[in-house]
Amino acid sequence: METPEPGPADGEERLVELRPRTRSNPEGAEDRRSSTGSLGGNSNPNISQPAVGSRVEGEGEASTSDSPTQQQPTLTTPVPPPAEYQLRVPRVNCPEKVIICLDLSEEMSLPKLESFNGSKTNALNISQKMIEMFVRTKHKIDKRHEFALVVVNDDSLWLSGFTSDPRELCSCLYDLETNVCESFNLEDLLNVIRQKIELPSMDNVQTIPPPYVVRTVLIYSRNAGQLQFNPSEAVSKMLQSPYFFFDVVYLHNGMEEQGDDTSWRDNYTSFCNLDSKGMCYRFEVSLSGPAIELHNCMAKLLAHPLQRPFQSHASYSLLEGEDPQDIEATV
Amino acid sequence: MNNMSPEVALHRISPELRPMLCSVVRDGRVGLDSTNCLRVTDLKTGCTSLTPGPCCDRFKLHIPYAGETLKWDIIFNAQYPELPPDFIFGEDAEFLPEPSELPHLVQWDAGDPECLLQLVKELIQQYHHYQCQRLRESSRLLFEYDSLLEDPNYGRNMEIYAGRKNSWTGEFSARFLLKLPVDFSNIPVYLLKDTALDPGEDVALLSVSFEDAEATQVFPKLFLSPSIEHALGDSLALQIPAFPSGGCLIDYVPQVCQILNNKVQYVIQGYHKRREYIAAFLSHFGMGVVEYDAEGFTKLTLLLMWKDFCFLVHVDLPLYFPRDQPTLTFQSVYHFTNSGQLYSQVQVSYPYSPRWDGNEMAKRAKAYFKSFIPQFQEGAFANGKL
Repeated sequence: METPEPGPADGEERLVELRPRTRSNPEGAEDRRSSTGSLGGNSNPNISQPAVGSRVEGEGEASTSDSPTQQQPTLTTPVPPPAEYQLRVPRVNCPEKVIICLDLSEEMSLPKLESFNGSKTNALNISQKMIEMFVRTKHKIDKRHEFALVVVNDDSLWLSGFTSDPRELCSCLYDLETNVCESFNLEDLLNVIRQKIELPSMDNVQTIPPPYVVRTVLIYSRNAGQLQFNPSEAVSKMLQSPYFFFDVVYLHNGMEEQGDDTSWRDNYTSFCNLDSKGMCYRFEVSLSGPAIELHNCMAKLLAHPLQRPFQSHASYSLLEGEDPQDIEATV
Repeated sequence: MNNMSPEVALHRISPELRPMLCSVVRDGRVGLDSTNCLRVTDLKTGCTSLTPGPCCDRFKLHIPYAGETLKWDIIFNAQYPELPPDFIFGEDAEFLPEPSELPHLVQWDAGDPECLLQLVKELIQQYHHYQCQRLRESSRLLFEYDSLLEDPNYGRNMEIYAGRKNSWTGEFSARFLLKLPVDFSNIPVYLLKDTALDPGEDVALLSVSFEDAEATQVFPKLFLSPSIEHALGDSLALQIPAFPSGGCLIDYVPQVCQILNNKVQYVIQGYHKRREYIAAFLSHFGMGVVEYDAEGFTKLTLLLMWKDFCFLVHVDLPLYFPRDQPTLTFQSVYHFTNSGQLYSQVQVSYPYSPRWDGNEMAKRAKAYFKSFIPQFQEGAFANGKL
């Protein structure tokens, strides 16, 4: 096994990493990586637009206001991002500003999750613990990271932050109550966020590391109704910034609806399609499954957005005695 | 002593003289000690009080030299700004530089903003020669000087101050200030960038004070520019040996250089070793990386899974890696301690050898994780709070 060579130093230009062309589902379960582990050696640089999947009938999304490259929220087939969005920011562990958005709809307090000892617990309970684990761990890794807490009912409310003290955030975490929510206003949430942050703007995205990045982690559990989202220009701009990340954990009821009702999968796909750069992490977890799945999602979300692999490439297992793959390790 | 900021001085000086004063106070560094700038005080005018200001045309210039500060009066005439200034060399009444040896005086160009600064540099050179001449009062010190002069590594980067005589004993004393020929250019940049001051040139200066002509009381001292000091660790870590009695500079100075060079090499090597280690770990575990220090390569956090259970491993690389082994901190993703902290366990002694390369270290670490994690998991469930 040859020793991996040190690659370009931080801040220097990196090779453009192309995602393998695949029309796999967002989890990447059918990711057909080549056997040597190399990335994108045969990708087609002429991909300029995502292929448009079939629209579910009955959706009323207006198409006139959209530019050709803007993805429709109702696509059912997620595709890899266009080539120009695959340029990467240097892999520097700059400070993160993490905005944790917690859904407080009543689904969060249904005792359906199976805890370690077999008893039933609810998603809010688990979320509180895993958020505490998240902020404490991030703080332990780098004291410069900052956190904020937003709770989502019918509207979104900025509760706390930014603070680098995990205890400050956790003190707001345990007095929360769920209630019946009529609708989910994603635009409102993103606007609340947009008004509280300022994204860095760098002259050269590929070579100059930013002073910080902003990451939103949304823990979401509503199942009723289809996700309506017509982002304003300002919100779209925020979503497209190379220094803004929108990670989602979707807790669903696992039921596939028939007929005209939206299934959770459609909503999940809508979230996935917000990620025009292919850099975000998305998880779907069943509300009636084992709680450990939810914990594990949050653990995977610990990874720094500039240093973590594409989600489809992530792999954590210690069990197999596999030989180290020929993975380019540039530091 | 009215310590004047450069801006104030420039504001009060007569306008025709301002460009020359500007290059002196803004960028003027004339000696070995580039971290200390030239300073201006006692700005005065020779004009009558009826003259409208600003019209200052004379000042004291403070010049760092051989660990001392020379205070020279520089006297222009605001009525005749095109003329070169007069100088009063502080208390060195016997310092009489030969004007023909001062090209910028001979060819004084009032229109050249650099002219005064260059003239001061030439005067410093003459001053240095004057001081060296004074060494003749002690054959021992003269020998020290001559032997250093012969060595091109040191001879061209010396400042000698032989001006002090102990007024009680009449003893002659001298100070040698040497710029050490140590190459700092390969020190990793991230170690150097944190100083608040303008670092100027990265430099190491050795000052050796001879308190007596027979060289029995010799006091060496090492000065590092702020960024180098920061990069090599605090000065406690950089002890230089005492000057050996009966020793001489030509033997001692190379010793000090060697110590510095070793330290610099150590820091550079350590950085590259850590970088290699992190690269190897990323190659073996890269798809589970959480964060790593991409600048100094001092730490790395991994997320691992074993039978559906997630664990974190925080790796901390110590200052004297690879001599000292990295600390591994295992952390449960699910458990807290009774006091509400993250449940974790630190391991400092696991199979390790500093002779392994990064790749070998990663392979062995992986084997160690596999053997240790079952008991860590058991411990977490037994002792931790969910």
